[in-house]
Amino acid sequence: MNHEEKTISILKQAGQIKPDYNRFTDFISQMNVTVPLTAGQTDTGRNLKVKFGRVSSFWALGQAVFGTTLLILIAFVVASSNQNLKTSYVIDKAIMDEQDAVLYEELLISLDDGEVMAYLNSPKLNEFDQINYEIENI
Amino acid sequence: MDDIDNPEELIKQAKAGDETALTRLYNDFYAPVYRYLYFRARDRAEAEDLAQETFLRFFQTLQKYQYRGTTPLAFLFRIARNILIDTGRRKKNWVQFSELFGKNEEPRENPTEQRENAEMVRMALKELPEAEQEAVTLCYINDLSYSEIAQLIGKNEEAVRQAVSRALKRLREYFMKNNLL
Repeated sequence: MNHEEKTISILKQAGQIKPDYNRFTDFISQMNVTVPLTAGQTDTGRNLKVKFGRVSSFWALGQAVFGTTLLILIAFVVASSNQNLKTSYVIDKAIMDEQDAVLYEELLISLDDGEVMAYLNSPKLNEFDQINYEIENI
Repeated sequence: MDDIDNPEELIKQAKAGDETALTRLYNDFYAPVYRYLYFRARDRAEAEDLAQETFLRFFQTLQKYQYRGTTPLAFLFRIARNILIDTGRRKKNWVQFSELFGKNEEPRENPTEQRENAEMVRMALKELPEAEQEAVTLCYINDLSYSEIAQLIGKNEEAVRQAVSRALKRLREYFMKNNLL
């Protein structure tokens, strides 16, 4: 096999990557799922993408002074404070549930403005009302 | 390419709101759409979001879709491509908390070696000009012909062939430089 053939082979091998179907197995039925949304939540049709607000004032000020890495730590502290209960809840759960990730699939933070967002685990959709309830009643 | 027995009938049933047909369309075409987006989007999460959005838009516009003797994959790629372009104008730089705080979530479907290979290829593709990235991805990841790619991206076959050829040359150099060949 020459170098060009090997290059093509690497590409084709990479093309075997599969979607994580566990997140999408109920895609069609979820299109019809009606889940009551609370403020700040967006129904993406597949699972729920929840925006947990942002820490923009700290972000704008601190990014210039401290840089991104430290700002993430600051965001973490701010988000864990009582000023942002929803973020606090998810981050606390993120730590507590590290082993089995029962609540969320991914927890993301924007390096641009400190917005925090989580993708909830789709098999947990049926329990989402309960999760809402817990979020609202911390 | 996925095997579809009778795409015309499948589309007809889906247009009539048959949930099984919709599911079948999703199951048959999700993977190639995802692969295209995986190598073109910023990361896995974005690729999944965009793939989902592609199907939502496809299902929403299904009534207008006209069967022309081929599978709807070209139509889906066109939707995915438009969504990707739109997203490029408004995307943010998201990172996972787990990356920053050391939490290690393993994707369930792909073995580590395969995932690493795919990531390595994606990094290599990012080194290429946009047009070459797209051409070589559609050609070797999605297994489309020059003619199909030309139709999709609105260029002639010769331009596609040249873009793929240039991309392969650059990738070969990248792989050699990184001791992968």
